[in-house]
Amino acid sequence: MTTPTSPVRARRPVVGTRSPVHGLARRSLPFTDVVAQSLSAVAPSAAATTMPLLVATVAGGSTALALGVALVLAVAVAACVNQFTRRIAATGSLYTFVVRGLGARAGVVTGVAMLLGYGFITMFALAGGGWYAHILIGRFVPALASGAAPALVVVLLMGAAVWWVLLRGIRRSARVTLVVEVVSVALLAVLVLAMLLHAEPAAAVRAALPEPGTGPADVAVGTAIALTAFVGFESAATLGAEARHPFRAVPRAVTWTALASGLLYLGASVSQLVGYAGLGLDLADARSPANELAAAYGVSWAGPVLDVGITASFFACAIASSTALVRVLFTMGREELAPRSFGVAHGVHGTPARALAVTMPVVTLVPVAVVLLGADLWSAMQVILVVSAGGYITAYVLVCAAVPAFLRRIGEATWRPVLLAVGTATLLACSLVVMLVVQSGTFRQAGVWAFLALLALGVTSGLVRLRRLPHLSARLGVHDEAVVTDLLGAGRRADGTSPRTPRHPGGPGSSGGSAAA
Amino acid sequence: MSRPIFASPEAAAQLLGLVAGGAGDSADDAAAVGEDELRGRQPRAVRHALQVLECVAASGAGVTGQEISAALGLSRATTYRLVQVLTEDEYLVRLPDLRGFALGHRVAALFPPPAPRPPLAARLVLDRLRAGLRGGIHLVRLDGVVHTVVDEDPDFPLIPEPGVREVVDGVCGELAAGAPSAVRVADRWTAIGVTVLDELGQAVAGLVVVALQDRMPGVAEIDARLTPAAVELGPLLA
Repeated sequence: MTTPTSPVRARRPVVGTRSPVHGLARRSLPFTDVVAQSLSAVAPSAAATTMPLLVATVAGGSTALALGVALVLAVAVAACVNQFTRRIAATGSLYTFVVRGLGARAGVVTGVAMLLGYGFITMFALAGGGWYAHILIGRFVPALASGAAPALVVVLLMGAAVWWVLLRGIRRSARVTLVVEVVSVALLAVLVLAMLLHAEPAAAVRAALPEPGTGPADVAVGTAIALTAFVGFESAATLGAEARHPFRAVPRAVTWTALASGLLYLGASVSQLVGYAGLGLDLADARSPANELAAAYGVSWAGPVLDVGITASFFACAIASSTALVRVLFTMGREELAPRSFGVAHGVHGTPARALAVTMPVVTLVPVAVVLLGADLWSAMQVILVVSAGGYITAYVLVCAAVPAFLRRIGEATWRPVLLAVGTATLLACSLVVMLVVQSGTFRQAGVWAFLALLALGVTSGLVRLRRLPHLSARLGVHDEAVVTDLLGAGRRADGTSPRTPRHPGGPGSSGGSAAA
Repeated sequence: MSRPIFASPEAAAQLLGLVAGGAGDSADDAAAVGEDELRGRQPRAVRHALQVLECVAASGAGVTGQEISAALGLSRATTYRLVQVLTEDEYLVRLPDLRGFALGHRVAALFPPPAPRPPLAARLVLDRLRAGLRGGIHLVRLDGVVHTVVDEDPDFPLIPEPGVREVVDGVCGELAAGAPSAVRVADRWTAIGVTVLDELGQAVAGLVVVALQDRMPGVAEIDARLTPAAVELGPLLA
């Protein structure tokens, strides 16, 4: 499929009449749906309310600084990812990109890392939905406020609902989640602004600056955890084949999602820090910061509304993350990297039914099982998040590292993107190592070991399969390709008649038969 | 050989996408409305972008970004940026090897492909028609992006005189809009046309007789000759 990388134009690629990803509805989605995919995968309102708290528990006094560094890193990763999205319309996202840059083996590592990232963030979102729904239930039915059972029931119900939505392939769900996100983000933004206006400017600055005694290791760990709040912003890249103007819509969706959600997180964390400092409390000890702050500052009506918004946001996040998860599995099944049955689609709905049947019970039952084994749901969520962060950051490191190789391969390397990619990859790799080392000294070490073990297991089995089936290397990294109707002379006509014999511009005319390979 | 016939400047503008209301793909193009005028280096960027298109057209499909930059003497960063912008808007297409570029289908709107010469069978029908009827008889394709004269009467060519363009444009516009036949008069000139239909009843072409008003044969005679010729041409042109 690829032309050998020779200095001169060795031969022109044959342009086919069908793209390799032809089953999909090519060039059909408008920009709003592309943004909706990224935005609902990030679930900014759920992340903005939980993440400052999680970062505060690991980074102590440098919460805002860690979030700021994470924002810069996320935008840098977005810029690196966009080096690919501007040139390749892919369905496999980062995994496809790394195959194109660093080859099949690195692609396998990325694929496994992404599966861990998407899979564990789905568990996190389901558990988070259970956690916040439990708080909401406790408001109205105080008898159910204690005990783990209500939250677990919600987790199971939400897992089943996600399964159903994905199996039926409800396209409209993306738009619904967009509305839910916009509403809860707007509500949150109002609260954040009110809180910041209420506080003295000096207090806000003091809260944003790191406290004395916090070291670079705290910031690094905080940054790694904070990065998980951004993860998913690249998921618009899975819609490359289906977006109407992929080379314009996808890069914009990726960059704007990273930037906008980062600014929201920064605002939310500073306002929460200011709010807790004003109450004389420590954010790291909070249970549900947005609620407690709303209650403490006399706007307790906002609490239930926020709970509904956050629960919905977690649900949206679970849908979007598991969509990405089964899509990657489905692609791997089609390429035969994973067992071929993962590539089986539902007979009626055309959705990846087999991949769903394998993954959804796992991601739903793991958090339930952990709690039944005696852990507290909130601690379980923190452990799950460590695995997810490890997976995502590994994938991000690899995609950034793939940029220089990819650009050199297609002969479009310039120093600026290469420098940015190398710098970002180095920083991310450092932050990943520091996070794993530091976390292995806390109760979250279970997450570190789970991450390393699962990564090793997945990569080993992937590489073994790659060696056993040598033809596989050439098949990985399938992406949407230009087809004859995209080219000048193929005649995409307004009256809808079939195109005439394809002609190559410049050439006196290869016949239709030879062009339609 | 072939001449484009624009019914009006608005039609031309709409064809090139300069006026809203043409193709309906514009949810995200709406943001582009209301930008300020060209300033600074923008004219140069426009010129460079067009040069890139010319370069791809001249080199043929498969030319790489590096080759374009070398051919035009532009810096590589600038070239890649321009190629990027043109690819986003589908004026250029990246080929499956990810290195090479080809002109995209949107360029077709800037340069409508010349209508093919009618086949010999159709030309023979026209020859017979011209032998029996005094006046310039022209075949105009109506199914392309632009109406084009594909077979001009060699004995009575379409001269650039006031009135000629007006009657031809008028008749073709009416035929393309679905009328089976049309008559127009302007200055000293008259044009009479009938449509050539495909099997679905869509107009593919028009047979147009153009003559000075006082030399035009009677309508009945023209109808009797044009209509059977148009029926005969249908399967040859559709």
